[in-house]
Amino acid sequence: MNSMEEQLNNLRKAMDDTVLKGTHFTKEQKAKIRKAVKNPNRRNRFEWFPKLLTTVFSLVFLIIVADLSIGEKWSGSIVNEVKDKNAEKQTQSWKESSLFKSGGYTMIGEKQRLGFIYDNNEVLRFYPNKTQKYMWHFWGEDQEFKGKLKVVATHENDNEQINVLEGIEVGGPNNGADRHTPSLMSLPKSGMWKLDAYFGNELFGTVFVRVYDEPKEDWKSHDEYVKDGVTLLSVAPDPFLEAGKPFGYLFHFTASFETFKGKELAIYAYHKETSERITAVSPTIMNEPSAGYATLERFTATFEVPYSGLWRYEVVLDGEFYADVVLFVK
Amino acid sequence: MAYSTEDDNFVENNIDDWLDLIMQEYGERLTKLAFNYLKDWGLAQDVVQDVFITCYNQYHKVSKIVYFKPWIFRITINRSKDLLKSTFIKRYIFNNNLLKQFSHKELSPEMKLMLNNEKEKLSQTVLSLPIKYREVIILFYYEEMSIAEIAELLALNENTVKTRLNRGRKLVKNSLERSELYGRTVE
Repeated sequence: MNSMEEQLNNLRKAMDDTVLKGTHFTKEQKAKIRKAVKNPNRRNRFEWFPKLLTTVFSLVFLIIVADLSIGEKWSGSIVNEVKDKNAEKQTQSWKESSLFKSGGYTMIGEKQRLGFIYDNNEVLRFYPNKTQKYMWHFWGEDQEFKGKLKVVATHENDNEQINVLEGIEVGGPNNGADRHTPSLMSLPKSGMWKLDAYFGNELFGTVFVRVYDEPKEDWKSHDEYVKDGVTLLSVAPDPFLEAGKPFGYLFHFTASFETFKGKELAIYAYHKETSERITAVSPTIMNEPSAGYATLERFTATFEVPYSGLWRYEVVLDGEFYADVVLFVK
Repeated sequence: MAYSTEDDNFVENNIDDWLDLIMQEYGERLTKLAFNYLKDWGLAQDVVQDVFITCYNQYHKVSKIVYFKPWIFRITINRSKDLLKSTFIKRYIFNNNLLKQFSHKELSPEMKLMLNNEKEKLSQTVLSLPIKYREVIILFYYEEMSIAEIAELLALNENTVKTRLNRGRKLVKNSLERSELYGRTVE
């Protein structure tokens, strides 16, 4: 290796032979410059570039700042609006009343005000026109209980009012409440109902309840759906079917493909205990029969049900019930 | 200097002649000078174009400058440095010079082969120096300017120039020795 100084003294040659090799100021470059100087309007990039950057950054900054402050104001007012709307809704809220405990019973209504024994199981639920016994409880001062009990029910969709209870003398303290009375109640149709309890002409309190559709499900395990003596659907699940894992199901439809062609087929699974619904097969338009068959003889689907127990698989065609089967999942 | 004569007969179309002349004389040199700062031929050409446009627009002043070479060198250097600053972030993110420095000890086989060429090795080493040492080394050894000229060009104290030159030499030396040593241990 030559001495450092010697090498550096040859730096010019070294660089011209290597990294700086060749012509880098070409005729084209010259022509470009000649053209550029003749065109004074053309601002060159080094003059506008920093300015452009500065402008862009300051604009972005301003926008962000403005956005934040305005955004705060706006979101503030939106939140207020939402609150207002909620408050409005609250006055006639159609959410089912909450459950609470008193004297060892679960009740529905307003804690420390009014309610009746109810725990949202299938037995105590309201079904259209099904009369059942419900035990009412009231908490309050003696002077609030002047007059007889009247309960007026209003349905969520129409303002039709019916008196479900009228002229009832309530009994004394029971289950931690100041007054109580048994009652027989029924509501005529499904949906949310508002139950206003009056003593005399004074509104005492309100309970919201849901009336459920008649349980038409037959929870007996059946892997075939028979209608008018014809088997429309049978299902062959995986023999090791169990909850919490995806399993394959083979649905065997017997109707001709014309029944399904161009229609939306969906399968929903309902859990008996929790009434939970999951979508097993999301709505799919049927364009072709099962491969190699004339109709949906081999319609396969793979899905997972979360809990063990009885599950009802409902086949829905264009939004209408077509068939169902009930299977027990381990 | 020929172009600094106080010739009042200079007429408008002489500007073009003058531009041709200075491009002829300085075009290549300035492009290389700018490259030594920017390590990118495209950017270097842009800088030089910008410099010549400035010359052209300032013809009436510039053509009377006695020490034209230092002046045009200075504006080229300044433009290059400005561009380095403005593209700092871009380079920091996209240019792998930084990475190259970190991975200096792990050069690819191709790079090793390339660097086996002594000249290449020296040139790359100089180009990899930090800008303040690189520029004095380039101006002193490549442009063959005197310490006094460099000091004036860069608006620095002569002693500062000397110090940087010494430090730059040491850096080059260390770097070359390290690669030498490395080459031996590998082979």
